[in-house]
Amino acid sequence: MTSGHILLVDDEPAIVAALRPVLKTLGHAVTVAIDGTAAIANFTLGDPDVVLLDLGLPDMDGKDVIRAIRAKANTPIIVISARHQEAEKIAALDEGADDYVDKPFVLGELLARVRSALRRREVLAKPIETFDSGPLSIDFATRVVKLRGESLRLSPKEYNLLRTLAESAGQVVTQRRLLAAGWGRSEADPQYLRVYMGMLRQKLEENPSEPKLILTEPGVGYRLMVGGEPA
Amino acid sequence: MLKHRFQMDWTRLFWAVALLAVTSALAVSVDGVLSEGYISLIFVTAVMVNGALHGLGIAFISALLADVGFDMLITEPKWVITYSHPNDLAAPLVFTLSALISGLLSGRLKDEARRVRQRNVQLEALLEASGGMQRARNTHEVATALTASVIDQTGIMATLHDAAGQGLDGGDAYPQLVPLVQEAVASNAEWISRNGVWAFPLPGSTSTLGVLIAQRPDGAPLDQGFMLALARMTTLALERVHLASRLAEAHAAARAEELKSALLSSVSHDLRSPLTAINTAAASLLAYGEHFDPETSRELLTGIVEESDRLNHLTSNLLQMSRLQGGPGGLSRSVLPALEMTRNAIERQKRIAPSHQFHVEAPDGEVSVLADATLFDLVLANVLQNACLYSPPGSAVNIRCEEEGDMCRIAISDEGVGIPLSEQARVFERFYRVRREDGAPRGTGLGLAIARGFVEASGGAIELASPWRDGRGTCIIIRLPLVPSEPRSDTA
Repeated sequence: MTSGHILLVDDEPAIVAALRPVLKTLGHAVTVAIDGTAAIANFTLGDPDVVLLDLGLPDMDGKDVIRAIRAKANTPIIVISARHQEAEKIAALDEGADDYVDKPFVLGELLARVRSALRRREVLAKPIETFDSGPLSIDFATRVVKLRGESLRLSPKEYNLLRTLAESAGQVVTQRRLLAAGWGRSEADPQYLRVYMGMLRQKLEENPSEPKLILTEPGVGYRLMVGGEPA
Repeated sequence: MLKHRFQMDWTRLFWAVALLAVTSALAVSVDGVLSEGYISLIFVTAVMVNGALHGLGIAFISALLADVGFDMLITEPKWVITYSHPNDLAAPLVFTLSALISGLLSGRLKDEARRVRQRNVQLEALLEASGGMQRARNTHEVATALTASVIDQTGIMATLHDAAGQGLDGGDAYPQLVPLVQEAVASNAEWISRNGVWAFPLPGSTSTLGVLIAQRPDGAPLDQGFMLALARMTTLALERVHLASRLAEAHAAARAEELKSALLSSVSHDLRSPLTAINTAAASLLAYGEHFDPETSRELLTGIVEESDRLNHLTSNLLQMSRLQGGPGGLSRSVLPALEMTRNAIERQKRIAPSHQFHVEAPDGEVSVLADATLFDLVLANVLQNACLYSPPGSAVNIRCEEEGDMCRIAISDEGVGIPLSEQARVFERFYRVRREDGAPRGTGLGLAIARGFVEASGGAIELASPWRDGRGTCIIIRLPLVPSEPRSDTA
């Protein structure tokens, strides 16, 4: 179990009170900020490993907090949002947030996201050369993709999309980021993306109609699962 | 009217005869100086003047008198009327002709003038009716403006009826007009007329908007052009009023819809937070319970209980809000012991906020108010909860309950942050929450909105004072009507 320092930003005392014990029990140090100003100040002082950020803050827009943090570091940020704030969620991800959970979230799901984020934090520390998880392995230097030890033939676009997903493995990647990776511009038609994701699934998934590796996050983007970790 | 005209004739005749007398005198005085032919011209002039001034009838009388005068005073032999010579016939002929011409001309002029006057009156009536109907905000005002302006200017009785015959001016019913109105609606004609009463159906774009009924008190016929113009104008005014009311309805519906969706989104947001907290606390206890020390477990369990209470409180607030929105008819009214209910509410609040110090100041005995029990209880709980939420733990919450005239005055004050002046007007709005010092507002955003709705529906009033004391604190003052006749009963 990876433990780290978590900055928990939420203006709802009940949620903070409910989350703090379990995070502490898992070995994390927890700092709490109840508004955006405190969040930015605590980020600078505490240098947390992961930020859990509620988007609805009393003093400022959650996106401004993301921007302020991104100006300083690429620490993973997991956004906690209400389900109806779809547009807000995507905007936060585009602003630089790494992942999101919907409120009310399932505890296990949130903890899995935190683990993913902490792993990514470790990976970010050293330059990534390979991706190895479950049946899938990617060598970024030679562009060789292997599934259960057999190499796969991927088109350049398919490879770029898979690489982008793998770089944020376990976390959601927005359509905009994937479009930018595959087509060079984030305004491209998401329909292309759907077609290419379908082709990737044909090559990667055991049962393409029930994907287990590349999951769709409706309205937001896609997520590459790592090590059979539950989403 | 006839008598009036008759009198005018006598006056006119007098002036006509007077002019002829003067003319005769003038003719006699120039007799001998001028020839007969020229003198007859003087008489012709007088006849024409009389004809022009007084009309055909008097012109003929003038011609007769002039003829007699000319014959007797001027032509030889004098003082005798003779028609022996063809010349003797020329003068009466000329006089009669000039009387005819001048009389007819003046008559036509007068008719023209009268027509112009009448048209002016009708235009004035149309103008006035149009102005009045433009300002009208409903069919009733259209009907009133129409009737008033038309009867003022023209003397025509014009009333507006709906397609069923009911008068739209809100005045008396006219059962005798109902068949006529229904016939007019069914007729598809521009107008129908029965026994001097005219009915003009007013067709709107979709259905008949109403029927214009008009009659002169004397049963005289109406000017069709004028009445049709009036009918068209009334149609437009009615159509405008109908459209405006439909637009207002649409606006109201849209506002209600907006409010509903705001309510839904706010409610779903408010439900989510306690749900998330409960879910997280329960899930962590389930999965990691054995790793928690007893203190932590207890805190998590307390959190679950508190958040469940909060959900419960939110639910009852929502329920009561919808009850209040149903109008005052949905509220029950019973005699309530205000002091006892306040004390009960305080006891409940003490369990939720044990560190706050509650001080009650109240008269001996009981103060009875007339209100809805459930709502009164909820409002007390809401206001007490606000007092505790927005003030530091350990601070005092003062409750003062007393009779004030025919009202029961309940003042609940805290020592909290107070409400900024800029927000004071808004705290009674639905879903408006004042920020607390430590971040999240915890209320439902419905408490004071419900309090105001309840108090106003009960015939009372609610106000707030903030800062209340030493630049801090909020005081909410609720006034509810006392039970009128019943003297104070000692139930406490």
